Amino acid sequence: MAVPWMGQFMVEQGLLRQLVRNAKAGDAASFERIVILHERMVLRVAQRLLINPEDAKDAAQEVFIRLHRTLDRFHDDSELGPWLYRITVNICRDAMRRAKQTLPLGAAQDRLHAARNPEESAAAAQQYEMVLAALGELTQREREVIVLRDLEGCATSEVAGILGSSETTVRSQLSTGRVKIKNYVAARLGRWKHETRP
Amino acid sequence: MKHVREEQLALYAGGDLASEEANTVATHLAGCPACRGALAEFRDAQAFFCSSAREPEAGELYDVRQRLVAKLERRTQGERRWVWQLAGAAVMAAVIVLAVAFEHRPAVSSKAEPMVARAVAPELPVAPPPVQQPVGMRRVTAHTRRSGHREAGIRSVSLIARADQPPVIRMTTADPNVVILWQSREGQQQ
Repeated sequence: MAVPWMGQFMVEQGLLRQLVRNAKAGDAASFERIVILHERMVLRVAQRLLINPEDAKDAAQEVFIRLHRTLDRFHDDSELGPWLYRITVNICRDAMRRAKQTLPLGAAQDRLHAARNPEESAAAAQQYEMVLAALGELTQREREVIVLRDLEGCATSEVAGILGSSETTVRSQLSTGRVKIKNYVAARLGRWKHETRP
Repeated sequence: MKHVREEQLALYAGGDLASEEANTVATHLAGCPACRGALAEFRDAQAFFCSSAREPEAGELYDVRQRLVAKLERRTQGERRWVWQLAGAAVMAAVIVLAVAFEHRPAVSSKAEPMVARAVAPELPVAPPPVQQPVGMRRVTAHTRRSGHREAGIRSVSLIARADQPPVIRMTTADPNVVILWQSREGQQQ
């Protein structure tokens, strides 16, 4: 069975299990392959949950450190993807908790500017900034649900499993999150189209 | 006509309603242009939102990998240092234990060995002490201390002399389980 949550990578579950077994036995090359196969997914989720790109990089490397430390506890018959999502969400929660204690008010705007990549076109950068800003409008739980369900494409039941909540709760957070995003995007998109009209 | 709630439309747009509820909404949408318009807004916003979220750049992934390698190396070095520190502490503890044990070792020196050997060997020409009738144990013990038997692992020496039996020399050693009895008549040790 192919694993769908790795973006452009589609990896056979059997191969992943073998890599995990080897890594648990101390094979550094297998662990490295696990990292390479999942780093895009982990960083992508961290960027969308944390918005600040540097915080996201720190969180992503912390995810793999924790994976390295706790790989012994991972059951061979489990799937690595949901487990990594769970670790990523937990580490991002910790980072958000720390950021709340240290970030001064008004720092959110700086985070958005820091998220802009110099290689992107101005329009693409503006669109991505809008996505992050829309995510910034959500509560932490709503953001987690929207990122996992709408951006990562996990099923509602998977999201509930990753977040450790019920499907009813996930649906509730999903609906309020989608309404907020629709309102934000509709308002900004109208203004943006108006501003960029020739 | 009662319109579909916004939250319901949000779930319907993403296919997250249970089939029964989804059928009810679909039936309503078929006859309600306002709700269809609201649904279109949801779908447009969601499409824009999902398509605008970019993937991480190669440079960003490289940064993560560099940080990870650096941190894993630091961690491994830390573990190695910890193992060496533990090994060093264990060696130090062993040295201290040995030093203490050496300091408090039982008083058995190289001088003691010839005495033990003499006691074991039957042909040793050790003359029995002169027989005294009777000889106090305390006095003989004091004599052996002065003569340095204690250093040789012999704690006390006493002479047991009875009128109807040959004299016996009784020696206690540092080891309470070892008592040497020497019967002078046969020249044998028991």
